[in-house]
Amino acid sequence: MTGRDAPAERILRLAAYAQWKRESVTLDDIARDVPGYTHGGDLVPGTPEWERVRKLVARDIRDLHDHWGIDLAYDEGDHRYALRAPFFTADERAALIAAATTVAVEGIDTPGAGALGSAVDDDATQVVLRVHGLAGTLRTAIGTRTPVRFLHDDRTRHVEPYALGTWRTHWYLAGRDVDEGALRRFRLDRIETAEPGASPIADDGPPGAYEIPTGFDAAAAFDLDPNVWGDDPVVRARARVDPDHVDAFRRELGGEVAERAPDAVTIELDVRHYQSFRNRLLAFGPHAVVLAPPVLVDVVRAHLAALAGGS
Amino acid sequence: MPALSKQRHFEVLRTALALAEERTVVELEDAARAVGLDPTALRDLLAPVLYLEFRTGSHDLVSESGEFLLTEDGRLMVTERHWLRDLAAAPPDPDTALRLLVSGLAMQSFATEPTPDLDRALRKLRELVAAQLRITVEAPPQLPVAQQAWRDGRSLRFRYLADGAAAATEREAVPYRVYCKWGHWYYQGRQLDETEPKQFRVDRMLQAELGDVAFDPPPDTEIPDWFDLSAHEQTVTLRLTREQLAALPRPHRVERESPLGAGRVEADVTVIGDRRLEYLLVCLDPDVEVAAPATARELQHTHAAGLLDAYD
Repeated sequence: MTGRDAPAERILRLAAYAQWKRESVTLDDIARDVPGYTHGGDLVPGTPEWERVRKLVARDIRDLHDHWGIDLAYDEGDHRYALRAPFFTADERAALIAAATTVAVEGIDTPGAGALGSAVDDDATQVVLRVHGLAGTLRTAIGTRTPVRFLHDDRTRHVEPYALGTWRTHWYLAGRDVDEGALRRFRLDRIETAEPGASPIADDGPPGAYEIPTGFDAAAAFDLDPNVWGDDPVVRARARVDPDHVDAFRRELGGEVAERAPDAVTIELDVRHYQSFRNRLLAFGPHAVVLAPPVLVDVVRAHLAALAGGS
Repeated sequence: MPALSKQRHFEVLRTALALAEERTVVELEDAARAVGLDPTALRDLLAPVLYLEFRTGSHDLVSESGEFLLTEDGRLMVTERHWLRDLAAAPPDPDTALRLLVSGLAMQSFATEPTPDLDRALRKLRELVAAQLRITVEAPPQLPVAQQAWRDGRSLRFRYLADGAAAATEREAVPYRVYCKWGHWYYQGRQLDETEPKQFRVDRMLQAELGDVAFDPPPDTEIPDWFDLSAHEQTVTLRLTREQLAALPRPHRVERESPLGAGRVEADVTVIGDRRLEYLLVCLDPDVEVAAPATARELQHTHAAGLLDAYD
């Protein structure tokens, strides 16, 4: 069915009318002006015709809300209908559409028909991000402040979840480990399913059971670089790096260029986690060598000697 | 056409009008395919909605037709604003909010200009999602020129340090697409002296500049679902503690894991390429046993000894 009698058109006509009026409207206004509700004469409250139009408008308002997110609110006091302010402005919506066009997000359930960002052109995608499958469940738990429990590295963890985030290519949950009484980060792909078919995440208390501390810093919580949180005595390291490997070295370990020669570049950096520094240095093979301080040189030399001397 | 239910009618309209707004313009045929109708049926459904009529208080007939447009050559567009969405007071559903927040935060992280509208929208979404999210997409230094090459249809000259290479080499490649996936930006391009395109990691470009060769990037180039690197896979069997297994350098894949007792496990660990195998082996704690193959044990010793030479 199309044309004037189709409910969908009548309902959208009601929205267009409310927008065009730019002020609240009465049931009489609607009945008089909007095709589909139009009544031959004035509506008399309490009459069957008045009741029919009132019910029809009430039903159509529900449909506008359910299908289009449009709220035409009825004021009991002055018996008028008025549009509620939009959630996003048009400019905000345009910015979100541009973001959705550029950044495709995988791993979240397919959006419903017409959902914002659901119809963007895949050909314009520049960035593809994958959201871990547990992110939705944990987002709900964080939003409702519901403690959760899950199996992680063979241990059942009881956690008050604070935030979700990524570091490098992995998703993490940051939250208070109730048993340890401290903030911990959990890699989502290491959360295991206790029983086949069961959800790996279970509620571990009622909603509203905790508060996220006001001093909690999500940005800091997901900076998982060991050289940031390591607790070895801080030393200033000097490393010799082949010129072509300098960019990659600094991307991986940070630091500043202290000297530059045609065949080698000296980089200086602060080190707080010796083992992590050693392993990340070794990723560059013969193209990066630590020169100082002796404590770091010894860490690398002793490790290599132990491996080289094995049988 | 058989009558559509109100639910279905709305679904068709929402989808078609979302396509019109989010793609700026959409062919009626494409929109019809997206909603599972033939173009004529969709046109019939759209036409009354594009020209909604009502009367003013003085009984003048008003037609709200300015916002959507169905052109004579069968293209649907939003001329100014999608007024139905302009009126939407309800927040997006939780999954949509999370998806928009993730894409918006990522966009924000590599934007080169201020994004006030996006910032405001993300503040609303953060409250809605009520979960702090930290999403970053790092932009390597050569990304702008790589994107310009793609945008302008020009070749890109760059010094490239390939994975595992000792030194960078000079390359020039015409652009097919620039994209970010698996946490890295890629320049998909064909070197001038080759016939097939390759994927170049933009963060491995040491220097880059626009070249002189004009090239129209193929319009149908897609972001690959995956790279087939199986031919380069190397697997070793290790005996180690669970903590040592968790601390192995990435990237790697644990294929099999079985307990040995006393907190130790035996695991088959796979990496891609010779260099990553050398790296994995030389990062192992000395008490980790390289159980198989025997060549891996030997490689561990020789590679460690080679690196040790620099410290003598």
